[in-house]
Parts: sequence; structure tokens; C-alpha cells
Amino acid sequence: MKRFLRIGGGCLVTAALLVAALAGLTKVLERKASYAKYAPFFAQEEDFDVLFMGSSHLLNSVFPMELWKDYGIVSYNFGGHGNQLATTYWVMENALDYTTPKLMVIDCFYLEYEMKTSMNFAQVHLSFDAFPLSRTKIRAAFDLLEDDAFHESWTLDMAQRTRLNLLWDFAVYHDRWADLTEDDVDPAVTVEKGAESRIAISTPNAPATVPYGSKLEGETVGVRYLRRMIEDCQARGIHVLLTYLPFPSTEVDLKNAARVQDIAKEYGVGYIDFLSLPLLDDATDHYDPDSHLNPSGARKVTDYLGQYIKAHYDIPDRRQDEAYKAWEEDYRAYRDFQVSALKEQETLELYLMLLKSAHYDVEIQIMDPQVWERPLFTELMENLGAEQEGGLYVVRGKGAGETDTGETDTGEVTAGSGGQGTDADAPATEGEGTEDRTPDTEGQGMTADTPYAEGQGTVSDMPDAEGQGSGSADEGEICITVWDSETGERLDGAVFSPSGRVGQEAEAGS
Amino acid sequence: MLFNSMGFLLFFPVVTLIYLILPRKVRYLWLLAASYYFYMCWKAKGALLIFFSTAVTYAGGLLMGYVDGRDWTADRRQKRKKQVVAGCFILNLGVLFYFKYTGFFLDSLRTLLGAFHIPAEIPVVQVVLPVGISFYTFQALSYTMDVYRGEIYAEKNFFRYALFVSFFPQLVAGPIERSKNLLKQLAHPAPFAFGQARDGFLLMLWGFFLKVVLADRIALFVDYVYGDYMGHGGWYLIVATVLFAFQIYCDFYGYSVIAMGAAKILGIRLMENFSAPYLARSVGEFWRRWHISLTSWFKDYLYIPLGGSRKGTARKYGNKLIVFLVSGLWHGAEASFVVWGGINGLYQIIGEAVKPFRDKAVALLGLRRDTLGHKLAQAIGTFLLVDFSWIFFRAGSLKEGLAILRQMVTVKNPWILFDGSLYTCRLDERNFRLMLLCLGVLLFADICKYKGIQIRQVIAAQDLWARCLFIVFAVCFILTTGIWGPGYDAANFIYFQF
Repeated sequence: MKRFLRIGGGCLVTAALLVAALAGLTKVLERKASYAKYAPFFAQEEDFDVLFMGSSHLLNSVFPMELWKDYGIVSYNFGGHGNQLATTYWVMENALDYTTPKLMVIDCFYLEYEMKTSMNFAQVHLSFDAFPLSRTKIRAAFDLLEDDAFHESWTLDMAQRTRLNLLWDFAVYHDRWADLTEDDVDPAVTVEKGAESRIAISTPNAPATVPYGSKLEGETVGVRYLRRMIEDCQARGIHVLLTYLPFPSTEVDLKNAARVQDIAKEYGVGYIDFLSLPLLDDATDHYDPDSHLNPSGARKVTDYLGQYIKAHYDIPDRRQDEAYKAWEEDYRAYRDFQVSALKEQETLELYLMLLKSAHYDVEIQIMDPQVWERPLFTELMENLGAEQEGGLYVVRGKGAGETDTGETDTGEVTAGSGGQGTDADAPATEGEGTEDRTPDTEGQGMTADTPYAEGQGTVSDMPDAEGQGSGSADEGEICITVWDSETGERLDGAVFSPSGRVGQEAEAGS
Repeated sequence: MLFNSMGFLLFFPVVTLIYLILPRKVRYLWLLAASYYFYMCWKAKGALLIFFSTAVTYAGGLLMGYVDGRDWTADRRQKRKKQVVAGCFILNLGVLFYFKYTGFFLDSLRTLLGAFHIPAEIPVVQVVLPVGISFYTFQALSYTMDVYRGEIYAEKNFFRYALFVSFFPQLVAGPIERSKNLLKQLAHPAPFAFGQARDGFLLMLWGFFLKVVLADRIALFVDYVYGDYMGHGGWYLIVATVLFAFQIYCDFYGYSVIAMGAAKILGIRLMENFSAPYLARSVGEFWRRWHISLTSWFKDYLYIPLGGSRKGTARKYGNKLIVFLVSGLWHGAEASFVVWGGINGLYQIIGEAVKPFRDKAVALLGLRRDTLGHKLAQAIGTFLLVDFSWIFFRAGSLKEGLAILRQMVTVKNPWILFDGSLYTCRLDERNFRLMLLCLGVLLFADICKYKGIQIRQVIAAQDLWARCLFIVFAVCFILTTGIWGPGYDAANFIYFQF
């Protein structure tokens, strides 16, 4: 008996040690992309007020940190590359195990699809790896891998497509022992609260048109899972806002967007059909010709959503809430990230595209008149709303007193209230076009109480205006200086020649 | 169901657990069911062939038992038994020939007739080769011969005999067991012993290390280079050929060791199939250490019946050549395998023929054969000879083998050994280094084995904590560095954009 106990004990200890060692190895070897995306979500103990769910369209189009800065909205972007609506459903279900938002924003791209997951299973891993093993995750793995449409359609990466691989990703990542870096021990995490900036400018494809009344017919897998999402949110008392985010639409997208209108009406939930809104500038706001937005486009969408949400839902402004104090720190990290993105840019066009923000004061000195012959440059200057003042072009962002106070009308959109119409409830209805909708159109100038205004004065007081500052630009160069419009802090300065970036602008006057 | 599959990792513990719970008298029935399930995971219909082979040899055994019991003259009994043996061989080898050699035979016939410009329409036949057919056919026939020779009783229990033919650990890749060993153990299964089970588990771990960490890693390099031998001539091919010697060793040895370990956990001792073959100091010794169960099968059931070495030197050499040519053919229905077998046969014949001259040369030069340097030179020489023959084994055909040989000799690129080019052949630098490290472990283990030191016993003699830690480390190491699972394609993961 003693021997039996000794043997049994030895086996149990060995098994326990083995499980512990494998769990540790799994953590170390795991690809950290999913962790990097979700870490801030799991780190926050307080509830999120708004969650954004969808595909990469959403991932690249909605910046939660901008919503925080402008509207005090505490939100997280769960958009995932290639996420079909079934995948999005299970991402949402897993997320709801950890937080209970007041509003769920769901983008409805992929509505017509019959597949439950992306054809690239690595993308599914990105969406799920970081979720701890739970009953919901197990249910997700079992449901998503029962994908008849996929088996009929694709033969790619079938070996990866096992439930076990999704639940215990060691099988997928164990090879990474040879690729481990410092980042695997102390991974860098997103400062964009799940969103992802994509930096490029593309000319979009010409959008399609469809006859009036055309819409997606039938109950596709996409439609079924969208219904499940809405029903589940409503059962939990969570408001739902559907969107169809803007990009050069195909006929399928236009039909999808029309069908989503019906579904929104059916359930009495809000819906913004961005495809029919003239929100974007085709020349400046697209990352690729057919899908995603760059930060210029994304900030417009984000701002529109912020205004819409504040106008239609009872979402609190958390900016003065002590419990969310950490978000101020997070915002500083986010701003540093944006500035580093600016500093990395080697081309004038991308630099100007990234300047499209309500939080920058920008001064552009053009010593190369031929640059106006570049059509994209002109478009980008228009996109920025740059105005000529003296020998400079100036863009004014929001001052400290201009940020949204959150004191907007709120109201739930209800079925039949007229709120289902794409434009009827949107804050943009009164003023079409991007500039009209953005708050900064009313107050372009610096307000008196901004530090910048106090310390460095108005345009005429800007360093450059006094003949210092960006006067470092030589003939044939373009010199740009960027300040934080709220604090007056100088963020970056760059000098561009026709061939690209030639250097940093001297920190004159700072 | 491969040993290195998730299916087997679930299958084996379940089979073992139920095996241990069941009464000893009926355990063999459970193992029989498990074995057929194991085989049918490949192709259910294939089980019919095992059943056929089993039924024929079982009936042959019973018939010989019946003949032995008759009140006939010894000559008549012998004659009848010979007829039974012939019947068993013809039926079993006929099935083997049909499934394995039909295509090769017809292709060869077509080439032969073509060479003599004889017009004939020979059909192109493609027969799917059932998994493990060469192994279980030889195992079943060994029983027939052993009964004929009176070395084993004719088994009356059909199910027990069926288990002997289909015992899952060694069903598809050996060792090719003898009825004298396995059938007797199945008739009297040993009670469960923890020490044996632990030993079996350690064996399985060693086998998995050989298979998934070494063989499958080396295969990435070898397959890449051999797959594009025109673009990777010279030293790429030389390195790949040296590595292939270890790939096939680790692959085959690993599989045999897993089989031995699995059987040991079930209380069955299987024969040793490899014994540090690359430490052999002659080709003859190599073959006594390589795939021992097959070599001894050919020796017992082909070489000796042919007359062995008893009928003069010329006949002995002829018999050896026949054995190796047949062995080549057993390994694969392709002329390159026959050439591979022929080369190995010739090595031994030439080696024996020139032995007097070698002895004289050694005496004249005053060389000492017991020095480490001499032994090392012999081992390396043997390795190079054997490795040369592997070129034909690895090549898809004789023509390809010759082309590879030409590429190996004509392309001069020794710098690739030092400029990092070797790391571009699907094994990056880290993986290449790990492979070399693990080959060092294998060499160490083989030297221990050669010297009669059993590492498993050394491990078993340690305290509980040390054994626990060793097992945890070994499992984690194999799982982490092994080539298994869907594979991590960084490019796939990097390209997230939709």
C-alpha cells in the first residue's frame, strides 16, 4: 500500500509539474499580438461604457482614445482582421464575460458571408488567444470550427483549424522558441485601446451603385449571427448601434447596408449607414483602394460616432471621474504614439495626412511653390483646412476650452422613432460635409485661456511669425511645426524637400 | 494513426487503462480489437488483408499441427508440411507482390521489352500499397516457418494468433517479431509492473525525441536539398546525404523505440531493432546492428535455407548478394532500392574477399587495431560507405540517384559550409544548431549503448524528485522543439491584413 501511494503520489506530482511547466511555456511561446491588443481591456477593473465590434474596417476606423479625449467616452475597439460576424459574435460573448457596456456598436461588414471564420486562421487566433480559457471560449471554439461553408469553400490551413489549437495554442506557437525576443517577456501593448492605425494614402475604387430597394436577401450566417448579437445585447439590457463603415462600396455592400436598415428597424436599434454619408475625402482618407481607412479618415468617422453616441445614448463623460483617472495617462501615451508616428514619416503627404486631427496646431511654411502642382498636396491642405496667414499656412485645433463637455442631448433611439434613418438622427444632418460637422469649425482660432494663447500668443506671436521658428526652411523646402492645440506643447517639426524628409525642424522659440 | 499524432496520444492511454482493468484472461481480446481499430484508422478495408494473411497462416499452422499428429512416415509428414509452407508463402507473398510490386514489375517488363524493341502493350497499373503489409506479412510467414521447424507450437486460439499478427505497437513499422517471442508472451501476459511501465514510458519519450525532434527536423533540410538537387549541388548534397543517414536512423529507430516502449507498458517485451549501428566498424557489423528484426529474418528464413555459408565461398557470396537484393526490394519497389541493396551486398563480399590482404597490410604497416584512432577510422569509413548507399535509397529512382551523385561531385562550393548558406535550407541557424546538439545527444546515447550502459537504468536509479524533473523537462523539450502541429508560419501571422 505504501509503495502504491508512493508511486501514485510521484505520478501526480509529475503530472502537476508538467501541467504547470506547459502552462508557463504556453505563455512564453505564445504570439503576443492578441495579448497586445487586449491587455488594456483586461487591465481595467471598471466597466467599459461602449464596445466596438466588427472586422478590420472597424479596427482601423474607430479610435477610442479620441472618443475619450473629445467626449469622455470609455470604450474599447474589438475589431479584428477578417472577423466574420460569427467570429465577432463570439468575440463579443467573450468580452461580455469581463465587462458590461451600456452600448454595443456593431459593424455589419461581411453580412452576406456564410463562413464563420476568416480564411486565415491566424486572424482568428489574434481575436481569441488572449481570452483566458473559459466556458464561453470553449463554446466559441466548438461553434466556430463547425463551419460547413468553410469546408466547402476553402482548403487552406486546415491543419490549424482544430478546436484544440484555438483553446490551447501551444500546438501552433511551440515553434516560436527560435523566434523569442525581449518582447515575449515584456510585450508592448496597444496604446490605441484595441484600434489600429494604418498609415498610407490610396485612391479608392469608384463606388458601385445599385437600383433603389436592392438589398441582401435570405438568412445568411452573417445575418443569423448579427441577430444573435442584437438579441443577446437586448437580453442583457445593452443598447445596440449598428453601422456600415465607409469605404468604396461594392454592390454587395450597398445591398448589405440596405438589409441592415431593415434589421435595425426590426429590432428597434440605431443604425448609421456610413456608405451614404459624404463624410470622407476620397483623395486623402483611404488606406487602400477597397477596404480600410487611414487615420485621417478614421478620425472623421470616430468624431462622427462620438457626436452620434453623445446625442443618442446616455453615455457618461468620464473625464472627471476619479475611477478613470488612468485614462488621462493612457491618453498621453496615445499622443506620444501619434507623435512618434509623425516623426517616422518620410513623405510630406503621409505627414500631412496624419496631421488631420482636432488636437494639433500646425504651421506650414512653403518655400517650394512647385509643391502646389502636386494634386494630392493640395487635397491634403484642403483636408487640413489650412488657412493662409502672412507667409504661413496655419491649422488651428481645439483649444483647452473647446473640448466637448459631454453636455449634449441624449436619447435612446427607439423603433419607429425616426431614429432608424441613416441621416435623420445623425448630428451631421444639419451640415453636410466633414468640416461643418466638426466642432472646430466654429472656433478655429485659439481661445484666450489656452496656455499657448497665454504664453505664446496668437498667430502673430508664433515663433515663425516673428521670423524665427520654422524660418529654417530653405529654398525648395517645406517646413512644418506641430503643437498640441490644448497645451501649446511643441510636438514635432519637420522639413521636407521634393524628394522626402530632409530633417527635423529646429525647436525655435520653444 | 501515427505514433506522433494526437489520435495516438489519446488512443494509447485509453487502451492501456482498459487493458489493465480487464481480467488477464481476456486482455488479448481487447488488444486485438484495439489493434484492428488502430490499423483501420488508415484504411478500414486494409484490415481485410491482415485478416486474410492471419487466416492463411493460422490455418497453415493448424494443418502442420495436424500433419505432425498423423501416423505417417517422417518423409511424408515433411512433404505435406512443405506443401503447407509453400501454400502459405505463395498466398501471402502473392498478395504482397500484387500490392507492392505489380507496378514495378510491369514497368520493368515494359523497359526490358522496349530495350529489345519487342512490341507489347503493357498496361500501367497503380495499386495503393496497404500500410505495413511488408511487416505483418513477414511476421506471419515467420510463424509458418517456425511451426514447420518445430520451434513453436501451432496456435489453436485464432484470436490470440490474430493479435500476434496485428499487435498494434509493431504492426506498421516493426520490429518484425518472432512467434517464439511474441506469441508466447501473448499466451502468458505478464502482470502489470510499475518499473516496466516506467521503463516503457522512458523508451517512448526517447522514441518521440528521435522522431519529432531529430528525424522530422533533419527531414526539412534533406527534403529541401534533395527536392532541388539541381539548384543545391556539391556540399549542399553532401551535407544533406550525411544528415539523411541520421534522419532515416532517427525515424526508423524512433518508431521502433516507441513501439517497444508502448508494448513494454502493456507488459510485452519486443525485440531490439537497432543497436548503435553507426558505431559499427564494418558493413557486416552495421547490418547486425541495423533493423535487426529484418536482417535476422532474412538470415533465418532466406540466407540459411539458401545454404548460407555452408556450400563454399562462391555460393556464400551469391547467397549474401541475393539476400541484400531481396532486402532492397523489400524496402521499396524501385530499381534504386535494389541498387542500394546490391551495394550493401557487394560491400560485404568485397570486404570478406580482401580481408586477407587487409590483414597483411595491417601487419606490414605495424598498425594496431585496438587503438581508438583505428576504431574511429573504421567507424567513419563504415559510415561513409553506408551513407553512400543511402543516396540511392533516398533518391526517387535510379536515374535520379545517379543525377544526384553527379551533382554532388561536379559542383564545387565548399564555402557554403561557412558563409551561412546552409541555414537557408528550411532550417535557420537556431534550428540547425539545435539539430547538431540533439545529434550529440544521440551519439552520446549510442556510445553508452555500445558500451553496455543503459541510460534508462541510470535515470530509474535516481530519487523521485530527480526522475520527476527529468520527465517534465523531457516532455517539455520534445513538445517545444519537436516538429509537430500546424506549424507556425510567421509570414502567415504577420500578414493580418484582410
